[in-house]
Parts: sequence; structure tokens; C-alpha cells
Amino acid sequence: MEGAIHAAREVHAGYLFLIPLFPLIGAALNATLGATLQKRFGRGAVHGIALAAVFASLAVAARAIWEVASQGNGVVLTQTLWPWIGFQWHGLSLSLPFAFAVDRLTVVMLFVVTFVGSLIHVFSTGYMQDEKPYWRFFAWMNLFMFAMLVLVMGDSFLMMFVGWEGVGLCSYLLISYYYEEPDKAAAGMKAFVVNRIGDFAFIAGMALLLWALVGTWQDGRFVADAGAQAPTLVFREVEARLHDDAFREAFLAKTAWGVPVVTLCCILFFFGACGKSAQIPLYVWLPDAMAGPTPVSALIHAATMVTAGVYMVARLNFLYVHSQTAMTVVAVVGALTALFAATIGFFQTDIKKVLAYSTVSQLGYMFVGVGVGAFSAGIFHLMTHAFFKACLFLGSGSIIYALHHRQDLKDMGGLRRVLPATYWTFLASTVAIAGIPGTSGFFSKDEILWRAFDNGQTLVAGEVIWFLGAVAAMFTAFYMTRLAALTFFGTPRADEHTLHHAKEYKRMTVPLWVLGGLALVGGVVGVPQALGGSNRFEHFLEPVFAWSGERLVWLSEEGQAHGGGLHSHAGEVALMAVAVLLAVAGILAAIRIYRTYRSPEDEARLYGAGVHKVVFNKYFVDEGYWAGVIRPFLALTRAAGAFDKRVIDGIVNLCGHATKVTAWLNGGIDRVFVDGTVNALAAAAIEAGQRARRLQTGRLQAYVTGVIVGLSGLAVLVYALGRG
Amino acid sequence: MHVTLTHFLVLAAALFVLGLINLATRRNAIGVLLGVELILNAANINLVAFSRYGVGGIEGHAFAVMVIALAAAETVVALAIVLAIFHHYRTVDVDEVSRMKE
Repeated sequence: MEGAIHAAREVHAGYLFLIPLFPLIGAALNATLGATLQKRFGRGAVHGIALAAVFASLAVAARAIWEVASQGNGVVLTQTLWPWIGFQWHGLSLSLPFAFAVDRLTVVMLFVVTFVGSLIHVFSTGYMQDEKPYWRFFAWMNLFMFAMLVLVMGDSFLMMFVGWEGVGLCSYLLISYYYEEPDKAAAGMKAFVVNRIGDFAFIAGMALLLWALVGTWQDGRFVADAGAQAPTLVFREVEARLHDDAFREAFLAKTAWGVPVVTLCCILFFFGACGKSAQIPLYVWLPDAMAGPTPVSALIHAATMVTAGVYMVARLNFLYVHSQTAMTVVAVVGALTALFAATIGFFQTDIKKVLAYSTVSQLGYMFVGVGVGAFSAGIFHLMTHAFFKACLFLGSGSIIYALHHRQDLKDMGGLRRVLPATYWTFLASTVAIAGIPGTSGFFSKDEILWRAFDNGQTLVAGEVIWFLGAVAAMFTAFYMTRLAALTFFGTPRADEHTLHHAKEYKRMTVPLWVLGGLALVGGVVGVPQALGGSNRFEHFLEPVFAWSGERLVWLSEEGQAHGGGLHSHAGEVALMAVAVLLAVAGILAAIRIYRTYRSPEDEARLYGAGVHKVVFNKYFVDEGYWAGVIRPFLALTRAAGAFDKRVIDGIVNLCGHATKVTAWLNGGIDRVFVDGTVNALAAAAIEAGQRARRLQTGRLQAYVTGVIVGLSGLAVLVYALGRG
Repeated sequence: MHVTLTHFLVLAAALFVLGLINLATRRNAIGVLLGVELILNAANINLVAFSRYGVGGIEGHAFAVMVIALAAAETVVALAIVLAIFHHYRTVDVDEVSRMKE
């Protein structure tokens, strides 16, 4: 059946390992020798290594991209490096190789990671040039590239997990780059801990999937399926098995705690994605992650790492399409996050915080895309978002650098003459994220909104999801325009001295121009048919998602889900028009309000103090977590500590006391009997000595007398013996 | 009267016993030393007598000369010690000088 058409053609490519290897070498060199190199040869040596590593990786990735793109449908480049994990369990043997696989979905991610990553590395050489531990920054950046490339290229859940944890670690290291400042170190820890919560769900999902593929649990015992194949965690093998009708029927019928296993798996994986991709309820770490250097925010917390969750859901499309519930959860959480985070963006006064909430919001869009089955649209938005959000973050970096690390909007304003390159590229990206027709963000966002409206899979009406997304789009246009207005327009609020010395370095402006350009025109690869394009992007990814697409159609027809009504290009164009109108309305409203500078106090007066207070404080979610989760948790740890101290320690101390008493008794026996004997012997010896001592009088005559008596005795003895 | 070995041995024995009694009874350190000299000379008489009447040769005489030399040396050392004791204790009574027992 379908499997025959979509059977991926595997081509061995022996060079794949070089893609992650180069950054790993760069990281290792800078981590070990970086401090020495920087001291002896200056910063050039450090970023020379780092840039060579990422550009080498980009070059090899380009070859892989070309090879996949130029060959026909469904080619997958693979390389197995070594057998990695193997064990026997219940007569089933799991063996996983350490292997890479590059298909068309991976190719998109490879492009985003290596290309945007390289640009951000270049930018960093300017932005970080005054930092003392320059080498540490580039070592971790390269290590991040390595981990991210393992994440996207890994051919199994476990390989992906290795990269998944690796990027989490690098994120932590880079957020805490200024670790001398306690609040920044704490931000790193927060990111790490929140991510770990998601990671736990990932592990649980992986374990659940592993056994569900080969058996069931009955009355707490694992029972292998009759004729089960060896368990596997390799993506392609799992998908190939699902292509088999009999296997799929059996797999989908399995339940755990009364819930279909596939739904449970998908929701667990999605919860993992929520952690990494900052979705409700685990988004709280991302705004705090802005404590890291701005290029880190651009690379990790906008363009690449935070999109890993979206990539994961898209990668697992063959699982998700079988669970309407999980798909609905993904789409609804995405839509709610998109709207919720967009509103928080309204009143933030820190330029990076606005962009952070914007990122959370845009990630929500991507999840709407993958959640309604429009996997390629989600990935498309992932790519365009990487362009414009990286550009926005780098632009904010350029501003922050020019203003000597001040990032509050009250210190900005009127920067368009001082930082022209930053201004133009920032503006281009703002237009793109707001969804003005023709820009990249317009094509990708509207593709998602249209597919959400038109979808027949989710349990919640597509129209509702569309509405949430469209309102969020209007809000996005509003807060981004506010941000641009407060930054670049009006009268400068920074002091003369700062403005006079502010300048843009070429190393910083070149990446800005490239990314800003792509933000404007990068959407051409995905112009929808409704607008006379051919949506080449979707066709490019078709081999990866085709089977899932067919399954989706089949499922929605069978389940008679509420099919969206507007299966027409006219409907799509109408929806686009609505979205554009909303975006323009948002932009115009923001221009009207922010024609002049509005301080937080002005905003509070303008929007109502209550609303402003709630939104400005991010709906008190952090406080809620503090009161609802962290404090109870701390109380629990304290209670556990008290239990440990009173009960456990009590038992331990009791044991100690018992030992002490026993030892005392033992010692008594020792003292009385054993020592008694020893002492008695010693006393006897002393007594004998005391007595013998009297013989030594010191009187010479007494000795002589002794000698005479002795000699006489001896003489008598000899005489007697001689006689005898 | 013919002088025989027995006469010498009796003389030596008498001398030895006198020395021994001297050694055992005298409290004066110098007196004690005199006793020691008597004993040594008793031994010398025996050596020479045995040499003359017994084995023959001059080994006995040689030993006697050796003993005389040794006795002289011993007396020198002993007298030096006695002098030192006198300096320290202002007495040469051996009963008073008994600190070495402690």
C-alpha cells in the first residue's frame, strides 16, 4: 500500500559525521586552549577557531543539503558510526547504533542551524569583543552547534535526546555566561530546571513507546506480543512499522491506564517540547534566559534550540497523526501560548524581554501549524522565524552594544540616525513578523492560520484556533510596532556622549543585512497556490510528511470530524485579507499611541492601571509558580528534611546508641577480664622486680661477700662432683 | 728444707685469702684496692710457681709480667676514680658511695 510509495531510499553518506564534528573540535580547542590562545595571540585566534569550525560545518552541510535536494523523492542520507546500545530484555534485544540520518526535514534544520548559526558567530565577534572570557563564549557556542546538529541529525529518539540534553546544557552555560551576577546565574538554573521537567516527560514518552512497540503490560507484568520484532527507537524503523496495517491496528489499540498509548506517548513528547520550546505551562524560563549575551538569545533562544520542540513534533508526525487528542492538545496549547505571550509583550520595558515573549508567541504559531497537521507550514514558519527573529535579536544586540549594555526602552528612542543599518534591518524584520504581505512572515503565518481554519482533525473547531491565532497576529503587529517606535523614532533619550560614540561595526552589520534581507524575501520559497505560487517549500518536504498527510485525510473522513468549510483558494485569500487587515490595524494603533514616548506610568494611565499592572507583571505567573509550585515544593523538601532529621536520624542515632551500649559492655568485659589478666601479670612482674631490687644494695662488701660465698659454694660443688 | 711447689701454693692461697678478707671487710676504697692487689699478686705467685715447677718455659713469667702491668694500669684508673669520688662526696667510704643502685 502507501508504504511502497514512501519507502525512503537510504544512501550512505560517509561525510555526515563531519557536520557536528567540526564544531565539537572547535569547542574542545577553545575550551582547553582558549584562555592561553587569547592571552598570547589575542581574540582573533579564539574566534578564528570558532568561525572556521562553524563555516566548515556549514560547507559540509551544504553538500548534504545539495545531495538531498538534488536527488529524487525520499532520499535519506545515513551514516552509522558505531553500535551504541544493545541489551536483552524479556527475550527481546534492543540494539541502537550511533547514527545520523538526513532527510528533507533535517535538511531544512541543517540549513537554519548552520547558516543562521554562522552569521550569529560572525556577529558575536563584534558584540563580544570587550568581554574578558571571550574564549568561554565561543567554546560554548561551538558546543551548542554540535549538540544542535546531533539533535537534528540523530536518526533515533535516543540520538535526538543526546542533542536535546546537550543544547539544554549549552543553553544553561550561556545564559549563566555572566555567572558573577547572581540573578543571571539564577536565570540559567531556572532554564535548566524547567527544561529538566520537560525532559523527564520526553524520557517517559520514549520508554512508553519502546515497550508499546513490542508488547503490553498485563497486571503489572510485561508480555511481549506474539511474533514481535526487535524493539527499536530509530525514527525510520518506527515509521516503517506503522506503515504495516496489521501492526498499526494492534499498536493503536493498546492502552495504558485507559488511554491509548499513542496519545499518551505524543502528549508526553509534547510536554517535553513545551519545556524546550517554551510553551504554556513551561514557558517561564525563556524570558529569564535573556540574561545571557544577546547573540545567545538570537541563536539559542530564538532561531534554533527553542524550535527543537517544533522539529520534534514534525519529526514524529507519523505518531501524532494517529492521535486526534494529542494533535488537539498541541494546537490549542500553541494557540493559547501565541495569544497569551503576545499580550505580555505589550508593556515590557526591556527590549529583549519584548522579543523573548514574541518568540514564545511565535513558537506557539509553529505548534498550531504542526498541531493541525500542517507540518510543513510549521517548519516553514520555523525557518522564516529564524531569519526575522535572529535579525531582531541581533539588532537589539547592536543597540545594546551601542548604548553600553543598557536595554531599557526608556534609554532608547531616535536611534534611526545613529544606527542606520540596525534600523533598516530591524524594520524589515518587524514588517516580516507583523505579517505584511510579501514578507516571509506573511507567507508562513498565513499558511498556518489558513490550515488551522481549514483543518478537520482537531477536536476544537479550527475556527476557534484560527481566531486565537489571528488576534495574536494583531497583537504581534501592535507590540512590534511599539517596540520599533520606542527604539528608533522620537527624540533620543540616551545622553549625548553615548550617542556620539555609538557606532556599528561591519562584523555586526553584515549578518544583520543578510538576515534582514531573508526576513523580507525568504518567504518566496513558500508562496501558496492561492496567490499564484507553487509552495515549493511544502513540495520539498512532501516526501517526509506525505504518508502522515494521507493518514490525516483518511482519519478525518472516517471520524467525521468537523471538516472546515472553505476548501477553496478564495477562502484562503479572504482569510489572508482578514489577517492582513488585523495586522495593519495593530500597526496603525501602535503608531498612533506611540508617536511620542510613553513611559510605563503613561501606559498605566492609558490602558487602565489594573490591566497594566496585571500584564506588566506577566499575569503574575512567576509569582503563581512561586506560591503554587516552588513554595510547596520547598515546604515538602523542608518536611522531608525534618523527617530525615527527626525520624531517620533518630533511627540512626538509636542504632548508634545501641552500638555504644554494646561497646560499653564489651569494653567492661575487656577491662575486667582480659585487662585484669594482663595487669595481674604485669603487677606480679613489678612485685618480683621490687623484691629483687633489694638485692642490689650498692654495698661493695655485700657483693664481695656474695662472690666469696658463691665461689666457696662452687668450690665445694666441684670438689663434691669431682669426688663423685 | 727444700722449697717445693706446695709451699708456693700455700703462700699464694694465704695471700689470696688475706686479699679477699681485706676486700670484704675494708670500708675505705683505697683499702679495697689494696685487697685487689693482694689477690692479683697471689695469682702471680701461682703463675710463676707453676711455670717453674710444672710446665717449664717462660709463659708463666710472661703472664705474670702482663698481670703486673695490668694491675698497674687498673690501679691508676681506680685511683683516679677514687679521687673523683672523693672530690664529689668528700669521702672514700664505699658504703656512702652507693648512688648507682638507684
